[in-house]
Amino acid sequence: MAVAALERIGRDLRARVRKLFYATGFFLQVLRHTPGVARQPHVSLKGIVLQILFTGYEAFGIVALVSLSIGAIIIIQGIALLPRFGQGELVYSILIIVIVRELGPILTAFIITARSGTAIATELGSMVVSHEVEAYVAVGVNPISYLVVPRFIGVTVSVVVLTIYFSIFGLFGSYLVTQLIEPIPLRDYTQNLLSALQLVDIVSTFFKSIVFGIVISVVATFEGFAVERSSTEIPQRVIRAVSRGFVLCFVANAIITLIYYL
Amino acid sequence: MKFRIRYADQVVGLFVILAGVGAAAVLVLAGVNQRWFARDYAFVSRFGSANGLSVGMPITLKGFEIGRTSSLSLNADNSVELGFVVFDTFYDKVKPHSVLELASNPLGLGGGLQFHPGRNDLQPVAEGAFIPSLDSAAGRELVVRGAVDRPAQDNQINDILDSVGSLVAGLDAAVKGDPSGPLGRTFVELANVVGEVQVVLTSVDLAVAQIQEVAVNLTAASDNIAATTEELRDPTGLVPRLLDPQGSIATFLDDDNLLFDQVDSALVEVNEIIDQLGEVADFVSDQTPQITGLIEEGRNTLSVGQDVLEGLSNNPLLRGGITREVAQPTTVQGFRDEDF
Repeated sequence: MAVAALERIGRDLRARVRKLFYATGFFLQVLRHTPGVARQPHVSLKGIVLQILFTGYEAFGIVALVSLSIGAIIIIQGIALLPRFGQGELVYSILIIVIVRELGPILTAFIITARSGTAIATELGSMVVSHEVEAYVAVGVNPISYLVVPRFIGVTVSVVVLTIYFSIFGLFGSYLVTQLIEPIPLRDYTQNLLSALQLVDIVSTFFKSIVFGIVISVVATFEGFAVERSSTEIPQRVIRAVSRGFVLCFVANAIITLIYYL
Repeated sequence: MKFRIRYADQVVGLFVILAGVGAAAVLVLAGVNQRWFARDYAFVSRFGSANGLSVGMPITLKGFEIGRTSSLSLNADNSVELGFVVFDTFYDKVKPHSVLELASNPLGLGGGLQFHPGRNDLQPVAEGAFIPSLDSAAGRELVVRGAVDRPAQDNQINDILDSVGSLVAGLDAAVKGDPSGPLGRTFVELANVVGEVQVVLTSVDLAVAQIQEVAVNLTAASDNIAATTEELRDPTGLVPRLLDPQGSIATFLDDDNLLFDQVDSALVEVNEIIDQLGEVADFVSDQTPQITGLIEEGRNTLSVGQDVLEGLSNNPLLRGGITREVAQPTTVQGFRDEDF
């Protein structure tokens, strides 16, 4: 009984390690084929543009709305609370930390995972079930360079671009709310924000958004290709793509933040 | 075909370029605001202790931030070496004989790292030069020599002490009788009121003396009337003498008005006395509202004086200020409000 349980645990562990290596190999394959986009732009460029259109441009509205709301909430809470402790100026640092450095990249990643991660996993899973991927292989087209790399680049660029928009809208959304509560000149507000904004914040935000874009696109494409033969596997793989995408984004965020403070 | 699909390249291009422009603008503005592209001149200094010092601390000259501390380390000889930079716009202030001062304040007000430039017209010192601090003998010697443009120290404690000093001086002047201050004016006003009260009291004393004199005369007249009445009541005394042909009545009727003239003159005198008594009574009656008003003003002035003295003893720097007092309006108006 105990031996059987041990065997089962060992088998699961081996399977997980094998999957991890497989996923690592998949990721390395994606990285290996990414520079190839420059050699065949007529093939991949349109796919990248359409991926940015679906992932970035179409998510712009919801990202802007979320960032405006969060900026408004932070400024309302900050103006109500911080002056009681004589730390009213800290509201600008808090805006930069929360919107630019922390919430901007992670919330954008969540939105992209929920919208585009699911779409990519579903699309690739359907292509596997309908043997389209096998057809690509049969005619000598590498599915990674033709299907994965445009999505990988498109999603990563979209996350970076949307994170920039998230930060800009979040900061100026808070300014609009400030005008309703305690009007201050735009020049003073901008100057205080720019004084609180450090280069390391910008670098950290870009780095996070790039990592999150890579995580979302690789996990979504990996789970899409993980569908084997049945269409009922597709929703399971989509759910797994979303949950693993969230978990990996959280872990990556924690690691990058830890590196930031070391 | 949808517009955004048909013009996907343009839409995506605009979408990405706008984000890139926004990020670049923020980077450039932040860089300009935080002087990423400006030249800073580095210098070093030494302090006895790192207490109150920190990396990134602003260095000010007459309230203007001219630089920041960049490094802090402990030397082999246990002195604290401070590296700092001066912004290019203020580099010309770093003249020879300049010093750094870590100004501290026990109340936590003011303070910070202050830069005092040398008092000369020489060229600025070279980058990387040593700028002594006031912790060092060299820095103090420069200050003693007057080689440093170091403004007078005006901190909060000095302000408070100055206030206390001026307060004590004002109190001293008031006690000495100088009427230039508010306390002195209060004392002078109080003295004037007391003088006026003394004048009124003198008038009252005179009036009382006159009343007493009149009262003595009245007492004498009353005694005479009592004696006359007693005589009238005696049937064997006054009446027979009056009815006697040789008595007073016969004499009164047949003495060429001698006795009548005497009685008449006596009655005239009594009438004059009564007139004087009426005048005194009128005078006292006229003076009563003035006396009352003066006494009330005197009381108010004493109350103000008491508040001032209490305010001094409860000075906000020492105690809790002037005790709040519920105003009690008087029912008597001042004599200035009287309709004379």
